[in-house]
Amino acid sequence: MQESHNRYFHLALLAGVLLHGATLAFTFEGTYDAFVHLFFADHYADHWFESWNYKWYTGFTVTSYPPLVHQVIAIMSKGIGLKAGFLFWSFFIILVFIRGVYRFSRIWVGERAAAYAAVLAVFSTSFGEALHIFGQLPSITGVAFLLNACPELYYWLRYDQRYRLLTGLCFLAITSTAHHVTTIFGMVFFVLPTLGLAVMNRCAEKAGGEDQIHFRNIWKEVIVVLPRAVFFGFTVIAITAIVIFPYWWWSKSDPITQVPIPHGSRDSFIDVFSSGLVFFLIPWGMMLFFLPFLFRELFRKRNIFLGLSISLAFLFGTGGTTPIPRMALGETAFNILTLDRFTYWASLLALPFWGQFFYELLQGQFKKFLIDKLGVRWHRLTVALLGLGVVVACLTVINFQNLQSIQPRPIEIEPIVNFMSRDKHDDWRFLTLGFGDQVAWLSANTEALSVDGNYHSVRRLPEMTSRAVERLENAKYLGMEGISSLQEFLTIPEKYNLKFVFSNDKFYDPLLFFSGWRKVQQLENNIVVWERPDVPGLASVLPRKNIPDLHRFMWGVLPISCLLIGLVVNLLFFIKESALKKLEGQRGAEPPAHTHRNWFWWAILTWMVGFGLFAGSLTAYLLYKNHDHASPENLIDAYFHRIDFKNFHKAYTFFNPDTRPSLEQYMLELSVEGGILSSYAKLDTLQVTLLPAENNRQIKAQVQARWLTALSAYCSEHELLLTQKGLRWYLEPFTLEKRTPPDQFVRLPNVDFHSQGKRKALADKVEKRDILDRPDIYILSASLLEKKDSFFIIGELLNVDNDPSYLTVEGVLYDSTGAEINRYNARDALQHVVYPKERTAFRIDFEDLLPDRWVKKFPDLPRQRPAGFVVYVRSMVAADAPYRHTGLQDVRVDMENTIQGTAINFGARQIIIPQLLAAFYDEQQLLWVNSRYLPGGIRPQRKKDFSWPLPDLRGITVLAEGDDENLRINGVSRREYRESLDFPLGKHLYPAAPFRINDSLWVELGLSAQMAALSDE
Amino acid sequence: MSKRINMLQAMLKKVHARWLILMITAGWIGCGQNPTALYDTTALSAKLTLTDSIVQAGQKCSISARGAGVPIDSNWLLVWTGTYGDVVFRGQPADSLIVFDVPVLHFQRSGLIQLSLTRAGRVVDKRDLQIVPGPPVAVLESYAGNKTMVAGSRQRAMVMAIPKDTFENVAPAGSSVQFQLRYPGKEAYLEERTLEHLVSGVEIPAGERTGKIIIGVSSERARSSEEAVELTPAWPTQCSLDIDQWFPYADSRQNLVLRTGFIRDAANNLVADGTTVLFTVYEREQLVARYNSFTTGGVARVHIENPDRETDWKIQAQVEGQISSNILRLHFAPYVTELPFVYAAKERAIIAGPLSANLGQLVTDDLRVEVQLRSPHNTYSFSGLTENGFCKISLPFRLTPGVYQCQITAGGLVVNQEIKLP
Repeated sequence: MQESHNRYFHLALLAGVLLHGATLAFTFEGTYDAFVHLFFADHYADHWFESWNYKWYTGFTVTSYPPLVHQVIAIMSKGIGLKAGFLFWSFFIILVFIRGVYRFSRIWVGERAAAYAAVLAVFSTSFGEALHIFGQLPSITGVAFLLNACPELYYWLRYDQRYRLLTGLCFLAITSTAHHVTTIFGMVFFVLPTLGLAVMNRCAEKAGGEDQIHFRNIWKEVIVVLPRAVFFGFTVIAITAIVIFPYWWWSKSDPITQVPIPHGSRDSFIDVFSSGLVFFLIPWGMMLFFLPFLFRELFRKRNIFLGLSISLAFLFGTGGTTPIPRMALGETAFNILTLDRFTYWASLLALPFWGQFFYELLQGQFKKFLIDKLGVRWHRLTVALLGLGVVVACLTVINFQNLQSIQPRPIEIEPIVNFMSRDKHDDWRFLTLGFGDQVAWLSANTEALSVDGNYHSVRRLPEMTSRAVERLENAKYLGMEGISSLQEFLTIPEKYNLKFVFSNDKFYDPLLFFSGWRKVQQLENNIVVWERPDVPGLASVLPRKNIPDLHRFMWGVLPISCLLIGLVVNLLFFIKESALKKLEGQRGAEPPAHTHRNWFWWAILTWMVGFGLFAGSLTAYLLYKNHDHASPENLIDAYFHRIDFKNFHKAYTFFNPDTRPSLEQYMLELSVEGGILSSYAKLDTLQVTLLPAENNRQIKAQVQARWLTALSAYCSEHELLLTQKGLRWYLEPFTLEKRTPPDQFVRLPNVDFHSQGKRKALADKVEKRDILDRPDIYILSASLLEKKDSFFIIGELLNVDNDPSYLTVEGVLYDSTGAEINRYNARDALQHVVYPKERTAFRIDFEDLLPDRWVKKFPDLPRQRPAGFVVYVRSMVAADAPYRHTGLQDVRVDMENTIQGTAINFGARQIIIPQLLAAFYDEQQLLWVNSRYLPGGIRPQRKKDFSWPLPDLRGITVLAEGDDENLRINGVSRREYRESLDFPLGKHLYPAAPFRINDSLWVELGLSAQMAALSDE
Repeated sequence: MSKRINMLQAMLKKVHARWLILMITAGWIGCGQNPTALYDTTALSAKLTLTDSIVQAGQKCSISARGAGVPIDSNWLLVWTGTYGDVVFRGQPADSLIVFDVPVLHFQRSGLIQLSLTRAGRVVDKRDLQIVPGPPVAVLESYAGNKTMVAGSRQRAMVMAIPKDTFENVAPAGSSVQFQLRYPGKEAYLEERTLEHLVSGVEIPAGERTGKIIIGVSSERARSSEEAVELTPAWPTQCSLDIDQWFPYADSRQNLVLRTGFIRDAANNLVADGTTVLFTVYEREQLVARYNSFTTGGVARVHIENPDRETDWKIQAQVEGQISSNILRLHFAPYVTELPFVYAAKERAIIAGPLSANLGQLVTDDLRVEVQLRSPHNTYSFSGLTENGFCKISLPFRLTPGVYQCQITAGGLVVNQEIKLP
């Protein structure tokens, strides 16, 4: 019999390695966390005892994450490489996990049921999700060793086998060095129920059976084992504290004080179905069919501690679906913890009983019940359905990445690595956009430093920690908060020595363009490289945070020693255990069997059928409800989402087949609709208002779509007509722009600029002859304004040079004592490149940076009010020529105080995103500067109407005016500039050419076409 | 010191390594002491002898020492103190002399060398050796800046040169350096300077004509790389405006093509390519359009779309600094001559057409047709484009039923009519 059980266990080991081993090689690169762990492993491979890593977030301490898995992979990487190291350790951990489940199950259920549990562990969806979707190898390592530790501790306390304490503690030490959170919570959810079981079994033995146990028996037994339990508790605490002591020291000395990062596991799973799917339905999987059986088994006297543990974990795992987890954990813990781990633990803790359930189904009472009451066929059908469900659920999880993309397409990183390592590009930091978690793999392969990173717990830059933004690289998925954070980094890149951006998502192109970044080249892997001119390189010595040498020594030696010692000790005692196994069997390791009455199996069967029907009906209902043609709302929603995801062929099918144009015509018309909304926006929300139409088979819809772009949020309005044909709704086609220009062919002169950079290909230096003079810029005016509790510097610049100039305009605010309050750059309310003799207005916003928001949060905080300012303008010869063939016509203000007009592109390039830059004047001076992006692009020789609500210019107070001393150009004052240069002087010589808005207000409106190309990009 | 020794010995006793203790202690004591003198050095008298006290860089001179009754052995040291610190050479006995064989490498750096003859830690004699630079022969180091100057301005650039010999020593002060400059369109001329304080330089005033000033520097056999300073145009002073192409009808479609004359600075140089020119259009003294353009070859061009109504335009080109062109006054006649329209209740749209133009033809496609609907409470504006002479303007659902005054405008023609929305 024993051999038969072992056969199942060995089958489970083989199946585990074959199933997960064969598939993991194809899935691990697409998981969320695998590359992060490889990044850490790379750190240890290069610098085993180094505690500081410069590569992310301007540097962080690696003692912030338990190192065991990373160090093991680092060791293996010396022979087989990082990725293979990750895979091999995963294979080993799969075996350890299956063994752990088997051994853990053995103390809760019978031998055969435990063997079934081991087989079912292979197909566990929660384990599969952790491995194939999340890539949480340290967490899996931790729980695998924890599961192995529990039976050791059980046998120690149950049978007073002292060596078991040693083996159990060794496993716990390994768990701590792999994943400390697993140890901390594992003590509550895994170890305490195990020790409780030992106490209960001791009681049962003394009382003569489980039914004879009363509370006083338990109490007496607890008193007996209490000294041992206390000793064990202190020992575990001591071990956990020592083996990863540098981690605790780090968390104490550098506590995480950042805004909580939103996580789907905290959502209400009813409101956010996708979160419920990923964090509840998938981990539980087919186990949902046996929940009544599970809870019936758990709430026996013997299993009561595990019952409480699983119930608590189950409840916490429901996230924000009920208020209980928030109340039980407290606001802080609720917002810091990712609650999916509770579901993960609960599902693993339930595995023994999942095995027991299958035992009953295949060999036990449930089988007998089914055959007796329903016949052999129904029994076979039940077994087949459940077995098939288990396998299909597991394969679905393994294959999840193919069903639902969770990462951007795989990026070949060599071209980026080569780019950063040539011509001293790694003297600056870089940033990636749209890389997903592959940013970690890139960082592992390059010596260059990134301002971003993929381990948000160690971020310390206030710009990052003050916002709920996990990473800059996926800012577009984090709403305006993410975009704002990214904007800040791209606007003042010199603060972080950030010079290069690698973009895998054209969504960010407008922000890069209008923040003054320049597209350098497209690498062979299709990644676009952006560069920001005039950014200083990194200092040769960078700041770092040192930790004591002893900590570094401990960090480098203890975790790996724990693993080696733990494995050796357990191996030795495993041999000893084999000799004692027969003795254990005599001691009654087999738990007592319980006889269930028929009503119980009826209840189980009813639940299974009912749950199956409910799940099936819900799926069918959701499928119908979400069918694209089922309702006008669905159709509009589907159409806009297809357009959003550029699935034009599918979008075309939503039009009425009787009236729609040909697909070619539709695609052609769409192809000429460029602009920020059609090419660079992500649909945020849709608001649909349905109105009756003349025809009762038709309905009219007014749609307000809100789009998120990297620059700002946009609203567009659409009026649509929908027709019902049978049960399906269709859109009536609408006309797109059909304007044709007057001339078929135009001839236009153009100007081009090119800055050579290094004329000789010298790797190590820039020749003095290749350094150009900084172009001469003159600041016509500048003033510090207060508007609605926010502060701004506005002004106008003129390029008095004969070269085109790239501008960086920096404003610094000072308080009345002369102390600096803050500094910031003009972002997009400025033309970053100005032609010779061209003028541009600029505005520097300090609205997000001043401590006002802190003043609101902390009213007692003294507010720093700016009293003075300095504007620093830095110029460089622009390396390229922005597009300038633009005009504005018929500019007027309508009765609704909206500026109306026509933007004209009379040149030969397409203006991809037209930007209006407006300087508002009263009779005396510049009042305000504003910018706005037109939603559509303008093709060559065409025009586009625009309307722009007048900004509210009330409540603007001028706090200070710029003078010759506080306006500085390339390091020298405006006075010196004026005295040394020959150009017409006098403010009257540079009058604006503004459009008149009313008797007291004028606006100088310019159409900036910084983002233009020969074709729509 | 003995205390330290005792401490060390006490520490090392623990390892029972007496021989090691003795060796280390002896060595340690010895390190801090002068070597034991074999002779009474205070009584020694020796002189350093150089074959030349001034040598040219790269040429060696022999250095030896001699003295009456002095020991002829290898314990004599020569301390060579130059710009880059001290180097010590051990003397070798040769007959009655002590000869110091200093490698030629040390004779390649120019400067004043102080030579000290020492023995047993005492300086016995001192001499100076001057190594002078050789003739300038290498590539001459030159620096030119600013890289650009405004033609005819007060700006100055400068070329600095540092002539060097074979061994990278700066040429001796007073060396002659020749600067040859060639301004655009002029003959090259020579300016000669002497080397002072290791450099020589010449100031370059801004010339009148734009172009590159090419500069060559030489000194004896040394030559610099070619340097250049660019003269860029000064601020423009004149601008004129002409018509290239004009269709004088308000069709809101054809382009009025304008170009400036050659824009030049005070010295008659064409302005730099890319110089911004702003074209402004005024209608009844109000700005109605502004177009950006830039110069290529001193001329800026612009395409301005015709207006959509009969009007008079005043157009001017401007460069910052109040450089304005002549004003062009243009009249645009109505383009559309017939504008019939109906309200199609079934389609809830206003259909205008066929629209006829001034030459009897259908209006071109894409002519803007504007509709204004006035009710007692509200005014609504809509527009559409013509296609094959017709224009259909769908009215939105939000319009309430009732009677509206409809004004329809296209190509400068305005028609009014009352319509009733069901």
